[in-house]
Amino acid sequence: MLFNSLEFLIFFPVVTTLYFVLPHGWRWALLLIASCVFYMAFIPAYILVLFVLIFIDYFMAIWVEEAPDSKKKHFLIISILATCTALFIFKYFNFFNANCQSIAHFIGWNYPIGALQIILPIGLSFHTFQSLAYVIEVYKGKQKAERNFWIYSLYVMFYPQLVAGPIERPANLLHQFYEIHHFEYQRVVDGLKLMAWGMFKKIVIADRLALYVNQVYGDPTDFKGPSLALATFFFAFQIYCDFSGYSDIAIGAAQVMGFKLMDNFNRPYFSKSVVEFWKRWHISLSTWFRDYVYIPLGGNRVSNQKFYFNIMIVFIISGLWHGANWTYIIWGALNGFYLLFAVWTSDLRSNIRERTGLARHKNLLEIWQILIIFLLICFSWIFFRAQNLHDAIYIITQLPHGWHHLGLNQVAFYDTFGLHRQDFMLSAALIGVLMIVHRAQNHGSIRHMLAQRPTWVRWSFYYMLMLGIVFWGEQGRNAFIYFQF
Amino acid sequence: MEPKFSSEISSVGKVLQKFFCFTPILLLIFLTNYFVDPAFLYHGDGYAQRVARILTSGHNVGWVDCDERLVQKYYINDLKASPDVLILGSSRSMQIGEDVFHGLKTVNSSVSEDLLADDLGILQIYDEKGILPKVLILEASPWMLNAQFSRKKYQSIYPDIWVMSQKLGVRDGWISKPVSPQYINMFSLSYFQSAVSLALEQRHDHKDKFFVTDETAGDYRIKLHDGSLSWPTQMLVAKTDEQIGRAATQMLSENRKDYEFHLDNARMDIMDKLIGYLQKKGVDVVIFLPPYPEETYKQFLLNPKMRSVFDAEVYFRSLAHKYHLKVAGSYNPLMYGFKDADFLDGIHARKEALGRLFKEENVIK
Repeated sequence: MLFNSLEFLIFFPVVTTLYFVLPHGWRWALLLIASCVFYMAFIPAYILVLFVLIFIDYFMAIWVEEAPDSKKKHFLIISILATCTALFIFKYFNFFNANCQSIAHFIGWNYPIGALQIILPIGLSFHTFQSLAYVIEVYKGKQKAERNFWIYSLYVMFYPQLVAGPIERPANLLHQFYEIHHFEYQRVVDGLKLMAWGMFKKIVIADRLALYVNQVYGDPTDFKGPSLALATFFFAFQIYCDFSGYSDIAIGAAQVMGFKLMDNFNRPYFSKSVVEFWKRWHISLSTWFRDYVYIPLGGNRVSNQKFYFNIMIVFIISGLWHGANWTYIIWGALNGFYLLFAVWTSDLRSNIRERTGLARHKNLLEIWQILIIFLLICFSWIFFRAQNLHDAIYIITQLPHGWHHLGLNQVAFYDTFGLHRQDFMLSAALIGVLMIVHRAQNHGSIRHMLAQRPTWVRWSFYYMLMLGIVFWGEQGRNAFIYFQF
Repeated sequence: MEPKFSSEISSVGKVLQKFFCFTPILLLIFLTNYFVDPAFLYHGDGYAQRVARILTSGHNVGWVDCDERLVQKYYINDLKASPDVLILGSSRSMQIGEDVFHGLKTVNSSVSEDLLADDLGILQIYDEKGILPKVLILEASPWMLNAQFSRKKYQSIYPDIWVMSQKLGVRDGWISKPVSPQYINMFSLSYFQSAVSLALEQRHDHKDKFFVTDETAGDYRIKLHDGSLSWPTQMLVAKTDEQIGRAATQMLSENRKDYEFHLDNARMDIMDKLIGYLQKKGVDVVIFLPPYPEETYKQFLLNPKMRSVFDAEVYFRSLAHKYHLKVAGSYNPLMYGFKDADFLDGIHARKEALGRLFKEENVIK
């Protein structure tokens, strides 16, 4: 079920009402049933995959806890293997197989294994990572194994974050299913506001920008530098609004019912370094990789070579997590390289800042850093969005071409981009609104800021938000980009 | 426990109050949808009737989105006599008009995204009026045998479909009774946005939602008095093979599900019964298999999930064989020497090319 669908518009109030009407002892059952219904709205049969994994990890965690120290690791490995096998079969087999096929073809071997005709279960990468986090935490002794099978199932399946995160940790989420949540006015209203803002980001900004991005990236060979650059620029905001919009709706929906999910985004395009960007972008996944891959590999407390290796491996796996395609792997590797490059050139850049006097102009330096990081990230998005490596290379090589008509006149300006004036202005205005809101968030939460304003100011804002959705929201029920991962 | 409960009740009340403050927005959506009504959902009967009257009086209509099935209902009811040739199909057949069958009274009752259900409903209207045609050119597109086809527009002729189903002895339930779009679109945001765009356009162009014209071609779609459609001139301009190839890819990516299906036994049975019924009534049926552009056909060949397209053609040909019907066309463009230049996009053939095909097949005895 999509958050931006009529079904969810009915589903959410019904489930929430029932949640508060039912006695506490029954609420877990309601949430579990609701989560099953939510998940089965996509491909019903795949709930079996989900339950098989839940079943395995539930028992493995108990056995990890109960087993003597020497045996704990065995159960942990079984759990990891089961999860990775599911991921491999559904997500990576065809990619792996196609590459083997290409190699076999190249060296003239006969390769008889065909592709699997299966569809990736929705949200597989998210709930498997959430399950892994649980078993690993139990293994580390930081989390007690959950004895109630249904509560553990709910931890994996909790519908607001089931299909696209945030990827929760057991320490944050599990205990909340035992807590009694009352209908508290401020919390409920804050949750609803967050959902409305998330919806605005998704259907007004992301889906509107998607129209142009899809057109250009659908067949980039039809376009030249300006359109390719603009589509990439738009994509940067599309993917941010799409995914952070989803996270806001998920966090808001959970908040209405009294659950606190972790933040997933913190205005990433205001980052002044690559490290900072990754602390602000898809936080639940970045911290997952930090805690369960990077630190176990030794983190930065190792030799330089090992540190470089650790960074690259984490980013390449992160790329692969997003999708079984070389474009994602290169996207991940490129971000890893950015980070290493930042480490290597740290002293040099510091020297340049001192010598040019930029260091003394803090605001100017900040703007410069934000701009550079944004451009680097935009460049990496080309690989993320392109359908294949060929397209990505075409886009990169064509970027410098076709700019000469841009300055001729207004008509030529819009023609160069292949975009109507109104669409261009609306898209620019929406990105502008987003940036203004983010800028204002420097001074604290917008919701709290608004709460201190007179009623007419608050309600004008709410009305503008709702009217924005009504007038400009794209109603195509476009799926969220991260659903495919 | 008691004070907590009462504070919860008061919180619920406060939240509901806040929601109530947004009712002006809901009211704005409802009133705009109802009064501007871009697809004639709420004032449809009047518009459809007026459009049908204009057509049967021998004029053409500058056309906007309207309930085509409802227009057909009024149009057929206004017809005085049986047509010599009736064309029934989807937008792929809509361009075929009386100029293709010179000297014969030709009517085109094709509707967009035509399904077998639509054919049943429209033929029932002809049958009820007692004006079934002498020759019926029945488009047989593959999706007619797809039980899962997502877009169902037959709600306004549902009673006629039901009656014809009864005549054919088809069990109820082979099609779902659709929810009325009037209810679905009452608070629909996409309908609201269309209404706003239309209202702004009308203010700008001072043009009604449709208008009477005697032109047979223009920058807009024109419904001709024989029921056929004249596409906007912009769509008729010559296209390169590359453009048609891209249009084909786009068409298939947008309508993938329509072609990924298994032949539905119930629909094949109904098709069989329908042909038998029409033959009994003395209608000479021609099965029309509209060709696809080469790129579209190639993609059918490459995608194992779309194998049903070929199964559908085999089925329609076997049905024609069983009832000794003529078959005009083939999904395979090469069978009739169709080139990319013979197409408007990834699915629609040009009128001239189809005229050539009918002439070649000599479909009218």
